Amino acid sequence: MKRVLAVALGILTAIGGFVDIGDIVANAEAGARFGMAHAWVLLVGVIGICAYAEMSGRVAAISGRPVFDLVRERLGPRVALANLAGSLLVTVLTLGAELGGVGLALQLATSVDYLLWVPVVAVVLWVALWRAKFSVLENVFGLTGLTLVVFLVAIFRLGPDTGELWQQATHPAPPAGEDWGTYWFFAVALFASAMTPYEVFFFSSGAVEERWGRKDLLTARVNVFLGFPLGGLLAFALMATSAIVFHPLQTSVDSLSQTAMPVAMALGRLGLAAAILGFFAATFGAAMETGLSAGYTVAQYFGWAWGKLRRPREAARFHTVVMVSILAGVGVLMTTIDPIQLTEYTLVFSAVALPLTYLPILVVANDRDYLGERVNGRLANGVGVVFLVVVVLAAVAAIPLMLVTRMGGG
Amino acid sequence: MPPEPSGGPLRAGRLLGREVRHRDGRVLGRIADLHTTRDDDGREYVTAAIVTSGRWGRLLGYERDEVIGPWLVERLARYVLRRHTHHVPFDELRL
Amino acid sequence: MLIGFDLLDRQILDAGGEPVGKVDDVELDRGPGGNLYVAALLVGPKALGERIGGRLGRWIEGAARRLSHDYEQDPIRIPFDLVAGIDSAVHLSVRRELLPDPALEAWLRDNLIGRIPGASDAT
Repeated sequence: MKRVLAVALGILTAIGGFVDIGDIVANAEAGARFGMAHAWVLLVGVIGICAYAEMSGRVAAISGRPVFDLVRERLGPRVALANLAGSLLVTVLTLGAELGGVGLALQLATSVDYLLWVPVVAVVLWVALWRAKFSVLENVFGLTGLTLVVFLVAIFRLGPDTGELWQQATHPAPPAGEDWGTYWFFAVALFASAMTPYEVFFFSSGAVEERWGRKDLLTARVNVFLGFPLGGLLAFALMATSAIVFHPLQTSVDSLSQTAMPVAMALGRLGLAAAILGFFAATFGAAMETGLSAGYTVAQYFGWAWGKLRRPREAARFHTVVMVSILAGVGVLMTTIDPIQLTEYTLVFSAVALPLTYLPILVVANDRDYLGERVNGRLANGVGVVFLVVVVLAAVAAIPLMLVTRMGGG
Repeated sequence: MPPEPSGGPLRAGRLLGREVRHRDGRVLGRIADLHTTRDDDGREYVTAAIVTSGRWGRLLGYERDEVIGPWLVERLARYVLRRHTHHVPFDELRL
Repeated sequence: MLIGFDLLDRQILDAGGEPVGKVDDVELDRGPGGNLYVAALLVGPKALGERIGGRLGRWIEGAARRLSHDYEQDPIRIPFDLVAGIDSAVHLSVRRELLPDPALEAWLRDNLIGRIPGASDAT
């Protein structure tokens, strides 16, 4: 059991990146409109985030320095502050969206409007981050989120035309009625959310919270190479079930309840219940990940004491940032903005944050002063450089695509 | 030693990025970093300045030998470094 | 040693490994021969704001001052003699209890976080 729990950090981090509320719907929407034509993006995203999460975990385990600490150290106070502003906006907007997502999952289960749930969810989230042990949070929400495997089961129960799905996946192009602009908008959105910066903030800070050291390098690797592919697989299952059920009917998907329909069709009430539980755990897990990440980034930029290993009064500034971020997230939702659309706006801020987060990780992972013999090998550097270029391209392309396609509306 | 009118304590943050001239008056560029050496009294004395004529003040750590690779990033950083950077003994500078 | 690379913006840890702050600036003073030496590390939003400079820097300074009533302590000055070693962080030879409390941390602890039930409990 201990072995199983040891990978909870990786799983929780990956769920927050791949199947948070925005992704659940974005994957299903991509599946409905484009079939499996975006499957390759998930694969690319998994490889990219694995490479950088592995580097950040290794740097944290050996030198004890989490990612935002390195960002300021290598880029200086001004550039790091620009990154901090961008990352914090991504993180807090996502946090707001997740609070709404938990509300939407509860709305599915109880038929009470999600906006009424949001304040309750926010209070529960804050109490959890204030009182609960880091490892408990990880285990409960990381592992409960895995109930989303019902989507994987549903693929087989739906008995799809695998030849057709394979055809869509291997010939990526927009189907009739869609254009390349929208196609690429979805591709960039799915890729950016796979590589979203708070994943490495959370993963590397979690490694410090768990007191990983040189001897835990294997644990770190297992976390990365099991957790992120698993997150990617869940995202893939959401896309596939939607592609099987909705794509032939040419219906579009834009709500959480529609996303769960294929599971209900394939597995009945019990399956639907599992899907809703999975939505709840995944969105709540993502809310925790983003709430803590907001605190981690600000505290690490300024060098404050941070983390859940300390009593709250010994990390007063950190806990204040977490609290204010939750309040800000609630405030954004109370404008009645659609929580699902909210995560797409974060693309704009990712454009600043992504390259400025991944460049310092790559540079420090090559620094022998920090890592000794554990510096990057050729493979890590090759993949790292390629993805740095891809991240810059995606960041540059994101905003024009967003404007041209009116957020993928076409 | 460059003459400094005030003589009081000085902030390193104010020296970095400042434009400096050689004693003979020609402009060398901006200070990117300050090199120190430990003296017999245990103090770290400023002995040299890394002066760059480029705008890029932050060198990502590639000025040290411990960072090697990745090839592309290192090439870019070292290209910027070699083209513009000089190591100038501190007593040859006029601030 | 390189002041910009090895000191500035590095994390400072106390003798017990607890975070003290970032090196926000470095104070240089003149030795007997008039040569500059590293006298102290400066920690705090005031030093950081001055280093960032411009309108943004002044805003950080101002925000820090308003949020913390006694800003006399800002920036915290840590004599360089207290530095025990430098690797990926700057390690001090003393515990942080011996250094002045960061003003914002003290204010938030006394007026906000410390008043919430459970603030003193380990999780």
